[in-house]
Amino acid sequence: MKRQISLFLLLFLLPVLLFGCSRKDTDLKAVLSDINTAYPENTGDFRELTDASELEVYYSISPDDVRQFAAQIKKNSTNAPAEIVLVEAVDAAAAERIKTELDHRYHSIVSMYASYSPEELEMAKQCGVTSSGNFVTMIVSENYDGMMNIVNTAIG
Amino acid sequence: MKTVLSSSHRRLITVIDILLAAVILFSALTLGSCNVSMSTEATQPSADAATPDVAVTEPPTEEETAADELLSIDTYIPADPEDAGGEGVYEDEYYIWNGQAFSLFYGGEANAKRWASFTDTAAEKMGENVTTYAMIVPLHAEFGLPSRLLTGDNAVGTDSQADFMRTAYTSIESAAVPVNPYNLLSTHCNEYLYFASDHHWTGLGAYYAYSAFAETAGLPILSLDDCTEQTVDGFTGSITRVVTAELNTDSVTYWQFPYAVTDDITTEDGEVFHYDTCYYEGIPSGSDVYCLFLMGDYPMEVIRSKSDSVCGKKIAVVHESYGNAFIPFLTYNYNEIYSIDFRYWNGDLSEFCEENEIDEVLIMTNIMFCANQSILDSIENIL
Repeated sequence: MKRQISLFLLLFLLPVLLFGCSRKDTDLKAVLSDINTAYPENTGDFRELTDASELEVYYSISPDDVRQFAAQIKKNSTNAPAEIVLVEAVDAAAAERIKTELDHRYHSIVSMYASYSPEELEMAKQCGVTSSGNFVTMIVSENYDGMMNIVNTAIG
Repeated sequence: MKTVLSSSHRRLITVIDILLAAVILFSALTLGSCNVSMSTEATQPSADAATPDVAVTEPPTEEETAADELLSIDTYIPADPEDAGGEGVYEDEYYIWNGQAFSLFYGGEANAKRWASFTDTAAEKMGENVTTYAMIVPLHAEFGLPSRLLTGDNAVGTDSQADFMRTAYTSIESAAVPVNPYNLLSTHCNEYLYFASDHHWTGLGAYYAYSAFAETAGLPILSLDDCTEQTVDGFTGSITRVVTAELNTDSVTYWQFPYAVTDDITTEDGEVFHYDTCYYEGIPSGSDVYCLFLMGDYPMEVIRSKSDSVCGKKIAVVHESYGNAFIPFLTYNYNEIYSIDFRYWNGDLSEFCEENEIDEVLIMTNIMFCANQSILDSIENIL
């Protein structure tokens, strides 16, 4: 009898374990909030993007490709942009498209540093765009490593 | 305009000359020697036959034709720079070729349309009493790299600036006046228009853009022959510090004007400094020689000119550092120029123009900035 119960539990729980873990429910706005809490000195003067249509304006990312996102851009940072963009795409193809656009933006930012803030270029080059499953991120900040740790912990 | 026409345009003008001469010759034969032309028709021409039925439009003059093409926002003349051969290398977002560093450009149709939308907003905010000019300053790559490096399978990975500018300018829907410096730069591409070791343009590059602006605005163009040319050698620009490749050392040329110019600079701290020139003429050789123009980057500078060619004209120029080399030439056409570096100025431009009775505004930024929404936001914040 015990064996039958165990088998039943295993059969019942296995799908939950398998499919439940395949997509972790990570709230990206909560992740961004954690970043801001951890690095208040480098996130205070940012403007948060609240509507997915803004991703299209700033990054040419189609809102249709986005399941959820959190993003903020440093204000008045013409010569040395600082940006945090966390996106969960609707599927793998969308994630690829989003990564392409963020790669574009990242190159443009590094180019800006090279021309206008060469003393901070090394920092910008250490940052970048990453993807993990359907999650795509672009972080340009002097706290890049620490912020990425928070992101990686959250999205697993 | 004569001073800025290239050999290719002189050739174009020559072709037009020949066509015009042919038309005139044909007309003369038709009008003055009807017997010859009509002899095969077996009928005598009436008295009215000498007068064409359709209205005759005056053909454009040589200068009008050339100027129209050079300032067109639809037509982009490909540059044909001398090709020193060989391939370049990528380093830190630059393409290094022939001792020169080229910034790469990333911007597509959507970015271009957003710039146009931004420009429309700017013109609307400035109001109908202010003429708003908008200029996109292109980067070096399309004027300095041979076409074999810009097209084909092994092309340098940079988006077309001509395509961006065409889309941007032709998408303007407001009364904003587009100013297109592309073709004047393109037709002078074998001159010293951009630095090799720095991302900025030279004084001469800025002069051709000024020529495009003056022509668009219907103003006389300052002749460099009337100015005194000065040069500071030994300019090792900002890119020298970030790439390992060897770059050519630059020199910075500027022009002293045949009239008095003063410059009142307001710093970020609010301090005001007065100078009897708009150039930092004693600047030493090294990495900062571009700061010679307008003494460097400051939130606000008021440049006053005693040029005889104008009386009481004022203009505000919203810009970043590319504007520094450009603005001095405006002293020929304006008695007061308000130089506003949007990266450091926090005022309200509409109010500022009203208070200072300024009725012309030029917004000019390099194309890299034009394709960046965050930067357009920064400019919009001060309008």
